[in-house]
Amino acid sequence: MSLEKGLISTRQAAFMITNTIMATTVLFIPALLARGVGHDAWITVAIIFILVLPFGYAVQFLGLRFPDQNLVEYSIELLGPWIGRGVALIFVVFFLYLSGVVVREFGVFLVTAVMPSTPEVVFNTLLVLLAAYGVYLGLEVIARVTELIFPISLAAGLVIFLMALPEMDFYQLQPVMAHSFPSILRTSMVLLAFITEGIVALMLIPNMNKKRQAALWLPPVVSLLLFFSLIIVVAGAIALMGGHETARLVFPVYEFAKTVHLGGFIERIESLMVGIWVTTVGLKLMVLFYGTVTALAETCNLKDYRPLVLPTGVLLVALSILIFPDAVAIRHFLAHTWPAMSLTVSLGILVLLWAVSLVRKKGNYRQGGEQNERDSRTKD
Amino acid sequence: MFQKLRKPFKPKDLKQRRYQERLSMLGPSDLMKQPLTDDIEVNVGRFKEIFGNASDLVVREFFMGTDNDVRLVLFHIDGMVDKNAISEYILNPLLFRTFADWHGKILPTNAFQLIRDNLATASDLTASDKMDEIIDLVLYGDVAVFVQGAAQVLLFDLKEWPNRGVQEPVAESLVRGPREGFTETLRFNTSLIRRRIRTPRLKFDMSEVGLHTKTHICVTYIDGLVNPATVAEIKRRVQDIEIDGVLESGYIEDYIKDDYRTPFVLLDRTERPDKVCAALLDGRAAIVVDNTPFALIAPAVFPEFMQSTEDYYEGTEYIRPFRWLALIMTLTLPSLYVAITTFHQEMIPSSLALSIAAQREGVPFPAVVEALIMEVIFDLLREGGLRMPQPLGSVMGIVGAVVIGQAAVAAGIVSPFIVIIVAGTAISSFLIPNYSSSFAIRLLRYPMLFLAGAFGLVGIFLGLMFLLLHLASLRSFGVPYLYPLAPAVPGEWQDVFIRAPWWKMVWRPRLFRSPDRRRQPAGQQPAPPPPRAPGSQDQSPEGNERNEP
Repeated sequence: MSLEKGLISTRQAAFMITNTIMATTVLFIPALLARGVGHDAWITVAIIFILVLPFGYAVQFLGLRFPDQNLVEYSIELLGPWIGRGVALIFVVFFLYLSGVVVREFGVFLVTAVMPSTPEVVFNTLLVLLAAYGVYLGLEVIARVTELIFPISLAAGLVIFLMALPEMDFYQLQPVMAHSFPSILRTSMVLLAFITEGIVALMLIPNMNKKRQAALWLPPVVSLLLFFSLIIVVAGAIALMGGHETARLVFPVYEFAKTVHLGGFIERIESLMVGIWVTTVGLKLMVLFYGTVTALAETCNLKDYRPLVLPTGVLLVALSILIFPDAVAIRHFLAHTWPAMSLTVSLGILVLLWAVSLVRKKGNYRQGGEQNERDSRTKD
Repeated sequence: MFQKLRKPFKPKDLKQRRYQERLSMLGPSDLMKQPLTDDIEVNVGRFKEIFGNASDLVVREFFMGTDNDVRLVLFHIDGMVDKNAISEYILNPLLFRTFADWHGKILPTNAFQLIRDNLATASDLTASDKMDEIIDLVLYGDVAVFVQGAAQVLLFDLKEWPNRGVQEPVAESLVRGPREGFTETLRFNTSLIRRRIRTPRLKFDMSEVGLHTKTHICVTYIDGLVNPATVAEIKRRVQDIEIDGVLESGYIEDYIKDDYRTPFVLLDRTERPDKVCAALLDGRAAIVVDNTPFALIAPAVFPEFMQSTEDYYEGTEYIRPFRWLALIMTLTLPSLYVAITTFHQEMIPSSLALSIAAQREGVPFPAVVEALIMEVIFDLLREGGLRMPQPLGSVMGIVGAVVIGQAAVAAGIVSPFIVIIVAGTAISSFLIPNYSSSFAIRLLRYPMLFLAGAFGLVGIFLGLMFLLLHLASLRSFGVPYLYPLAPAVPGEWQDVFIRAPWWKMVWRPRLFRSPDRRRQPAGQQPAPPPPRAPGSQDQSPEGNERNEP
């Protein structure tokens, strides 16, 4: 809060968080889930969303215990200047790594599916430039653009799904629960790891203008948006191609767009897919990038995060190329390494901070935040 | 301790002092600052000395009274006053009436008062004893009359200068709606506004800008509807301007707009008094500048540049979606062509792809160069046609049509398809009602073209994202530029993509922060009279008529 003075509305926050979780998940998760449990993948989505709501509320209420402070500020307050900064640095590295993965995913998709002869680093650089520009302009600008773009992307995605509907065969979802429950649960952890990326919301909550009013309905809204999008994507992919084919493909959702043949002239609407991908992943990276630099600036007690934007951007481009040797490694990473990493960091630190704040009796979501909410009446 | 000894200047004071210093260098200001004396010779001498021997200064000396009791000297600038009015309202009463009725009564001691109160027949008459004020007013077209024995000067407002008259605005033509446009005279313009909004709450706050031009700037608003902070901010920015001359409202715009590093217009400008009035009723303020028919409106938001004044008069609601489409087409049509023909041939139906390929077979350039050539030629032709003397304009059209449409294709420099694309882009760009905004969009076509040539569709979408981020970061007097799209206020989209009927637009736009947000009472939807109860048919005479078969 001390770094960023801008305020965002509840709707903007909801869209930003949903978009951050959804942008890459939609493209990668159907294949990952189908590799684990074949055509039962959609069940994992249903299972996960029983867990997501508590997670969402946990994030929301941890944020509200310290309504005017972001993650770094209260981890320093709770754990002391050294351990607190250590925990904050873990978060910085986590966000940075995640941003690197997102940048690489962006490039991989474009090179694989759209423009095979362009070097990947070109797309990575372009995306990082875009995100850096957004981060440089500030949180309010990112929020406004998200508010404009996200619903359009959602609608465009829905249109693609509806146009692919005639090709789908929902009997391919049967038999239900063909795989054992433990294997379904294990696979669902892959999805949960994607969802816990939403922990970046802890960097946004202090800047929400009506956080108290939003406390109850923000997590359900985000969860429902995610649930419906993901269940449509996963079930749709399986209905379209079957479990085995979905698992074999890298980007099953892209096949949605490719199969569309409507009225003899609407065909090959992958361009729409590319548009959704560029815009939503761009916005996702902006949020993560913003989380990284603000957390880092806060850890180092800087007055402004903007000087960090360019160096971090350069780091991100390099990181995105260095972390994976090839596209296959990304899938392996997302299926096996990422769940452990993401769940440990986000859930672990969430639980740690909660516990310490309860034990040390610091932070109370009934106190504070009034100043902020008074401002919100004159501010958008 | 030491700090107390020296009182620091505030930057603003320093600025003011510097300005005063410059002012003092620029003329016989010590003469202008001295007070008027009783002696008319001294006063007139000073006045003449200040002007030097200006060739357009008219001096007329005359005497009042039967025995030439009182000496008067009249000054005005030639060409700025109505000379017939001078004879009628000043010379006539002062020269003739004094012979007959006021014999012997007029003396240097009471002449000033008599003229002011009893003799002069002009309606707008003021007196001043400050030389600088007199000079200012004479230069603005007042007639100054120095009277013997008075330390004051009479100033008659008899301004009249050549003007264009109220004509139809050229840049903003429409089919239905008032045809009056602003003129170059500030007073006519304010009267055009006043005639439409007849409330004493309509304020015209004047100030002067320009060291030499002393141009009148008039901040116009409706007290009680406008956000006072906005007006204060506009006035602050206008008063801070330090410039030697203002010849058009563009000078002011450059000084007061929030961000100069953007091609987009952050202040709306218009020649239409009805548009200014609509803005005032929205709770905005307008800046009317003397000597130009273009008034500025602040704050301005981007969606309003897709609106034409006529949308509010004629039922053309359906045209607005086309304008948004035209906006996107202007921006992306050439780049889409480049992206698809270069990178994504599979995206168009194969028969079309084949015909494009066949057409492009003999073209020596890649699509991006081809598109670039045509777009540049189009811009050259457009600009050339605009600046050309009227009779040559049609020649330009012929040259354009023949060169672009026929010769370039026949010579194999470009393919026929790109001609269609460029023509489509051109037509789209003309659909954007706001001239300056369409400039910005047309300019951004070029970066989009390069992005598309290098990165295909990905480049186009990246470009659009950069553009959106830029637009979302702009503000005009505190109002986000994309409002009400981002920040999204869905309740106010009734005036963005289609215009809702007037009775539905109950609220003024929220972010203009009008103290009085309600425009009109809700629930005025026109409806047929409610059905009458079965037993009450005889009660209303109208009802009886309607029941007749």
